[in-house]
Amino acid sequence: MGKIYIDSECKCHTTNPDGSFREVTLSEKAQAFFTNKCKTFIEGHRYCPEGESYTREDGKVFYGECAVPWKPYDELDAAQREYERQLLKEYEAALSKIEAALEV
Amino acid sequence: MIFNMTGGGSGGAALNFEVVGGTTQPVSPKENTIWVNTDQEITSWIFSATEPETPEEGMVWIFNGTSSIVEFNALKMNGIQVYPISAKQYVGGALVDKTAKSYQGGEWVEWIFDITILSPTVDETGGWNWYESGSPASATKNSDGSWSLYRTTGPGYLFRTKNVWDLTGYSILRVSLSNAVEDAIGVVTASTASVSNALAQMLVTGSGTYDVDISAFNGLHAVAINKNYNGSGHSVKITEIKLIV
Repeated sequence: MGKIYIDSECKCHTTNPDGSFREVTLSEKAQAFFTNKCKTFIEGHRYCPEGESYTREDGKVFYGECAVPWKPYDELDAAQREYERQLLKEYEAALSKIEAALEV
Repeated sequence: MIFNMTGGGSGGAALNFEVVGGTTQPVSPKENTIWVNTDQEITSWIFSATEPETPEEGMVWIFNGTSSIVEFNALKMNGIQVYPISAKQYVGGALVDKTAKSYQGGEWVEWIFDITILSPTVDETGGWNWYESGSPASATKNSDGSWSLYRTTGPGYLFRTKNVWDLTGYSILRVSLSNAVEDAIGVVTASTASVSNALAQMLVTGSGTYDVDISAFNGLHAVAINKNYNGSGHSVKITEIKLIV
């Protein structure tokens, strides 16, 4: 993925239904960070572009470029693992169909 | 062990401590007295790893972590170990940071709001080191106590500390370094010796002190530096690493 939407707190969004989020281009390292991640994982993170900053709820200011979770990481990790488990099931089902078709 | 424990005012018959307020350090305190520096009356207190949902005015929330320099047994009889990390008081509709001290071993011990895990003055005996793969990457400790992380070929290489730290209750990873060139600082899981991606990262170039937001992490993690390869042998010098509440 090369682009992402972020809001005024640099929280990530995968869609922009009302056009209120800003579309940003991810750097190469940020692309590696977010590629192959599920929607829940991505939207539980902030992405702050270089030269910009965001203010955390307690008032502390952080500067980009950075990619950090804002939701409890344990929850995001659990969601990503479930996403990968589902993908694996789909791949295995597809492989089984291919094997059946080839009668192997 | 993480649990919620509440009490009112200064203490209770079964408790091995008391929580007191005021702006003047108490005189002749008992062992494990917790002094919260506040000019607001403490109406109640709670030890908890999570923010109280319905605090009352004057309540002190003592963040209970999984390690603390002022840990103690909270009960006179059976043991319940508590690990105070920080204190906040509910005043005027908001939780406000307060400083706190514990009276232990005949002296007042300040609650540390940060942990220095690397500095020229910190004794790193006990296995503190970086995981390194040898050539074409190396980690060298300098005479001034700093570390130089060196990468001789591409692509970039993730160095992680051999030691791990419980990030519960800490919200900032602070790294001071020099000579960075699009290197990344952050944290990684503690469960593997080598990982390909950091869990949180900030890209840095040049020299300075940089803060990474780690407030979403609990449990054991290692500090990571993803050393970029910029076309020639290059090292970044790490002078200080701190975890801050």
